[in-house]
Amino acid sequence: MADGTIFERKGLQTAAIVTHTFGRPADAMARVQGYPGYRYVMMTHPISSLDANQVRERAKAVLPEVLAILGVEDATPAEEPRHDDRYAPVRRA
Amino acid sequence: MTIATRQFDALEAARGARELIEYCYSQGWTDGLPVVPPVQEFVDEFLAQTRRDPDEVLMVQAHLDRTCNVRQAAINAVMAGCRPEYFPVLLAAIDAFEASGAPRTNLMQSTTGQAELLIVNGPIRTELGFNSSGNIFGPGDRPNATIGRALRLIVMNALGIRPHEFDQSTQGTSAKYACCIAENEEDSPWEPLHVERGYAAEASTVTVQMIRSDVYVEHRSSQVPEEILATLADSMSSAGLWTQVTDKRNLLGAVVVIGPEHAQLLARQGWSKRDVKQYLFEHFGKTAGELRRYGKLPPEVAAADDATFVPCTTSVEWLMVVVAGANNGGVSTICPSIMTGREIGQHGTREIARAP
Repeated sequence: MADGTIFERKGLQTAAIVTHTFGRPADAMARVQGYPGYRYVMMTHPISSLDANQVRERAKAVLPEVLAILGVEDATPAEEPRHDDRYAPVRRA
Repeated sequence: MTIATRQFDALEAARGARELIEYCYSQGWTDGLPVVPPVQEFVDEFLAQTRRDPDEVLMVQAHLDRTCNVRQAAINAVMAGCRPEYFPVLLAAIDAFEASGAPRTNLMQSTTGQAELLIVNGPIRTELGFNSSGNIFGPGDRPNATIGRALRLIVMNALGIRPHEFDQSTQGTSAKYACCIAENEEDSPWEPLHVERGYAAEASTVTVQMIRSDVYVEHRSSQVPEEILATLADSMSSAGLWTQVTDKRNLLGAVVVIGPEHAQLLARQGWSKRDVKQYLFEHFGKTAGELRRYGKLPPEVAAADDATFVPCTTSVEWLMVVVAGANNGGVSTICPSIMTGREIGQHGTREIARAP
């Protein structure tokens, strides 16, 4: 996310991709870097244990949204990506 | 003042203290344990322990746009429960940590969830009452517990690396609450860490190294140096420690905390600290066959035959050996470390400067 916002600042349009468990740090990093609400691609977790074909499938699945962020074509995903709140801290009163 | 009056005052004071402690919780300043409220008077007592400018920047997290200055260090030292005279140790620890290069990497935000290990050497150990001889990784001694805790609070509060946000540890380690040991120089047969690194024996130093955990290693039934060292090397090289984040192999390092009984047994049979480090270096790794069985053979050696030894590291300098613990059992500890982006040996030690 930091890399993506740095590219943006230098004028290079960027589609940052994170897996869904990293949504909170991604949002926080975007805020710190001066891009609150920065739009990025949320990909299913995990990635590191996949084989090459599975990674290719994941890439295909998010390609429309990558293109949409880059303004190549209108490819808004049918379902809005959301963070996995199981990883959020429990706040008690 | 009567006893009854003192009790009444104590009750009121305790209620006020609890209210302030709860306030610190509400501000998100704690590690989950209560902190000492950092009122200005307390912070000033700490700042009086150094000649350094309160605004001097000690650490930088450029990508988070955060820094830690001397004043922030003092505030967190108060909160951690330090005594004011501990503050020079904490300042030296921050300098050592910065000099190690670790704060400029992404290690504090890594899923590997690493802790900062502090190692204290020299006369200050006894002057301030550091524990070096028994239960060294456990609770019970204020300098160890609070100085180690202060550095972690600084990471959380000053650098802004908190769990569930920029601290992305998958599981972390309990060492992240506090991890500060002192070398047991009195029971060690070898030169202490700070002397090995060029400081005078009379100097007091602190060394900082990021570690993943502390791994218990036992060998009580042997007097054969190679058997004890092979056991240590095996613990350093266990399959779970091999990191595979990319196709490029991550090198590993280790802080080897040798218990006095092991150290003295080795020294009696003529092993210097350098000999020990060399042996551990040469046996720090696994065969390609073992790694293949675990599915952890690095791609760069994918064609190696089963008997080929795949080392974890490239230099004996990536190993740190200190002697600590009670002289009451054949027990040592391995603190595994990833070597990405920083050095283990040469920079992460600083002399503790005490204000006259």
